[in-house]
Amino acid sequence: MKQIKPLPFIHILFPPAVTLVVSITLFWWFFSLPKEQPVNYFVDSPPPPPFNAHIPSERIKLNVWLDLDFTKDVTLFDELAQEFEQIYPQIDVRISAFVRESIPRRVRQAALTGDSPDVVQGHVFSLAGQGLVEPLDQRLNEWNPKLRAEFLPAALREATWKNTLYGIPVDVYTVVLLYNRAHFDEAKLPYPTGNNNLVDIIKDAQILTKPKEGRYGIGLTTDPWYFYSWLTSAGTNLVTGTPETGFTLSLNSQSNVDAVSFLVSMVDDGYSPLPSSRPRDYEDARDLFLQQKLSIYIGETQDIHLIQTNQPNFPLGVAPLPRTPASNNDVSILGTTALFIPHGASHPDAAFEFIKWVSSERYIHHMARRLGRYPARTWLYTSPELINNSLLAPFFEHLDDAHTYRLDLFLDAEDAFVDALKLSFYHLDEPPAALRRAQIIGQFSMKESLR
Amino acid sequence: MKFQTKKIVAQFQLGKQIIYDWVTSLQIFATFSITILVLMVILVTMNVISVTYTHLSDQLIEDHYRRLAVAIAERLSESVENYLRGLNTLAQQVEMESGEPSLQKNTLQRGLELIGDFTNCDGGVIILDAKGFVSVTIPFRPDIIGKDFSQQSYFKEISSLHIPTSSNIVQEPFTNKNMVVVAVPIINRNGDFVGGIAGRFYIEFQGLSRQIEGLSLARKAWIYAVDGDGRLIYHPFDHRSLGSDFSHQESVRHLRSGESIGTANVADGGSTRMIDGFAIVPITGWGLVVRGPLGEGVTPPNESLVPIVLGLFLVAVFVSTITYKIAVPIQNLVIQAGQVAEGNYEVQTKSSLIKEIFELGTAFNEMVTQIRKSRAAVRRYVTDVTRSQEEERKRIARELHDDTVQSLIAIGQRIDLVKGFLHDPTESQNRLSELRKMVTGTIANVRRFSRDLRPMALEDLGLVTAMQYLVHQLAQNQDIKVDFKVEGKHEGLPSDMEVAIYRILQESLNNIRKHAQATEVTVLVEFNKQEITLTVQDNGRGFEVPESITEFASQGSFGVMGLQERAQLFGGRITLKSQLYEGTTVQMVMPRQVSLSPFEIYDASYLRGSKS
Repeated sequence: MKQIKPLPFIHILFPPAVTLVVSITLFWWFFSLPKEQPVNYFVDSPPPPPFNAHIPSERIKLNVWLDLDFTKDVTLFDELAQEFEQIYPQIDVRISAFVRESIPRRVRQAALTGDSPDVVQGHVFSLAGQGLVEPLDQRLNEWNPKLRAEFLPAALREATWKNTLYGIPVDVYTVVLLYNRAHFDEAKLPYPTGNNNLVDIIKDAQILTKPKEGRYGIGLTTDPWYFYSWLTSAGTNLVTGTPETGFTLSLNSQSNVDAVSFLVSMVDDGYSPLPSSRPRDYEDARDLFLQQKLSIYIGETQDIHLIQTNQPNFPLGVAPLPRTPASNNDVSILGTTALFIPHGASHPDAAFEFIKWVSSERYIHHMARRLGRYPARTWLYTSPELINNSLLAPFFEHLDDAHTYRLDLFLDAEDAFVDALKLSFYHLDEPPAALRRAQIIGQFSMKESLR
Repeated sequence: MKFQTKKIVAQFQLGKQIIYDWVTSLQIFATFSITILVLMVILVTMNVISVTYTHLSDQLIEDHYRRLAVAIAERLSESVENYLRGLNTLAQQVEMESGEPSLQKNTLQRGLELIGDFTNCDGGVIILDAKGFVSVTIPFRPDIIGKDFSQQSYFKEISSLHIPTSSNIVQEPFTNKNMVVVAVPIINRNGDFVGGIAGRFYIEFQGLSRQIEGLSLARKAWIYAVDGDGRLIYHPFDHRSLGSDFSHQESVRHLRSGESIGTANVADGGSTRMIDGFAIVPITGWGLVVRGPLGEGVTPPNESLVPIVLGLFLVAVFVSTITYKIAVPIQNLVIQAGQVAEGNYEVQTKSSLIKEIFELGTAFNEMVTQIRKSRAAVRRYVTDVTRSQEEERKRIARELHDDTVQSLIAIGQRIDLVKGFLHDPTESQNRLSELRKMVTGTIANVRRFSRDLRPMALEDLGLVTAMQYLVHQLAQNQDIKVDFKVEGKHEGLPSDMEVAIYRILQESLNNIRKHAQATEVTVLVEFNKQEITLTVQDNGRGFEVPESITEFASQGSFGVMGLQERAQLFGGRITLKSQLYEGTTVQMVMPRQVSLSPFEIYDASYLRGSKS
């Protein structure tokens, strides 16, 4: 008879072990079937800020107003909000995006109607000056006192009003000269460099202009921020002073009148298309540039990213802004946005937590890569990814000595200045008279604007 | 080398044996069967739940997006209505009738709060004169002041119909920028059209989105809006498509075909199933679409994999343990049954916690005990039979010696004696006559002796009469009233079977005679086509019937065992019923056609030592 032996007790583990392996294999196979996985851009990114147990646990809606330029083509902030909501499920982040030029008036209107959002992105300096923003020094110190040193001093200054911090800088940019290399090659002109002054560039623009081909040498705008860069290259200014000393408006200074008159003549002489005078008409210059109907225009750092992304073969050249006729090179303008909490925000604690997230290393790198919005951090100067991009060299060159734009402190003065430019370009008034009227309106509004 | 090869082969054989043992083991088989069953149940359940849930959730989600689209469309419509109401308020100001641009501009600036959404960095507000020329702009737009806008669709509408209107996407003259316009006519007191006010939104600035953005939607869901021509007015992240034709979208096609509310599947949603809820925006004729994922919640998240696998593992451990608890006792039983087969009747299996296994073990132990007792009884029976045979032989020898041989010796001596009287015929004849008588006596003795050895009555009288004779003898010798009945015909029975039946009746009556102390006995013999039934019932003192017939043997009573043995030889069986003081019934049932069962064949062949 066949000898039968009972299985040893150790064999009791055999079926479960095989079952475990089979189950895992089956489930692994089932779940690894090809599925379209959403791209997770943050896989290799640093972690977000640690969980903040002090955030209230009640359900809230966090209203966030962002610059439309940051959201219109890239879903970075939606992805960020999604991650934020996973950590703080009680918070429902609602993002609204607006044209950046409209944000100051929207914030002011919201404060008046008691309908303030919780977080706003914008140029906080002017709004802080109008008393519309909550101070953030204490919150920043509680978060990370050392972090202040990591921000670019210039960007931090733009978020500080009378030694009080009102915003956490998000990005930084400068105004640069963008030109079409092919046009310069065709005209056998040397590319612009940081040693050129405004006169040199104007001369180049005159040569590059080809009316028969519908090509202009240079593009102008009635947008005050961009137009200001022409004025700085001309060695003049619009507003001087500091919050502590007070501000002086000089819209109709002789140098400004001369500069405006000269630029108007550039249009009159056919070297530049007539600016449309619509809001953000600086985009018209960029559009013409991309259509190769314009050889030179003044743009900002983000334009480089946009052109490289959308038209990688475009013969783009970038140079610092032309020096002043006196050969000063501190001519560019510093642009920066910050996140801030406006007066009347319903959920300031959650708002600051959201600001911490946006400002964290996890996301600011993606702002640089995917948006061309460079973080206002000191490591910007050492980031190989950025400094190896030769087109960004003028941006870095300008960072230290770029001017700050102060006319937005006085919105009515800014509107009056824009109207003066439009009147001048369209010859509805002479530049001296138009600027004088703007100066009068501006001075009147200054008294009303600052607290 | 050869040794190593042998070792490897041996190890291989051992490994093969182990694998074979595993695969054929009840434990492995049961564990896998149950685990796979559980796994299948889980998978089927998950599938059914998933399909059902997907179907239900799809319906709910479709309904949700449809309702959401209607609600948001109404909100957008209200917003446009408010803009129109604000512009209409300004249009009804007296200064507007004047046609004087400076007065009209002042009026607009006084009502800036009504037109703030247009003028804060957007398309602004323009006033058109009766002929469609731009007379006033806020903010200042020298590029369009004085320009002819009479061909703009909204101007045509307000000038001809004198009603507020909202446009589809139109291009701003001279800048060619896409915009949507809400416009109201300026009507003087005489009811004449004297111009219009138009509030404008550049679609690239997304000023209209104020009413849409910030709405709480599910993740991966978004809203877009198209104008009456199906061109994109608003999209939350695809700004490059603004102004382009979106009629290729299924929902937009539905809207353009006149459907005001509905849902549509999205063909280009990739692997994620997407659904559009759409609705017409009242007043404007625009369309609003809410796009979101379908059935996203039914995909089991990867985190659920861990508890499922862990659960299955625990099921497998549990089943394996239980199976082990079942398999080991069964395997022990198999081994012990083998030992019993080899002749070890001292085997006893251990008890188990599982009831059925416990009962099986108990039955096995009982069976082994019974076999052991049975074998002991058989041994005693054989011994007793052997002893009886010896005594019978002795008796036969004694009978032959004391009677037959003596008679033969006497006959021999008489024959010698006759020799001496041969000369005397008379004396010789007398002597021979005596001799003849002696021979006759001896023959009678031998016959009697022979009858004692075989039931001669059976041969002489036949089965029924022989049985009747036995009954009659009992009645006569023991003074017992015996009732004997026969039903059916007994012809055709094999003689061996007749002897067996006769002996069974004989033994039964002997038992009554020896032990029953009965006064009445009933004997019933039934012959039918299939079987023969013999029932012997008495009213004697009865006894407690033991569980097994072998217990009679252990008590030294072999009669009943003898009955059983005889009946079994012909495939029959004996049933014994008795209770104290209530008599005894012995019943024999024997088939007419004797056929051995496969078991008996197997058993017999086994006994012959040729097990196949």
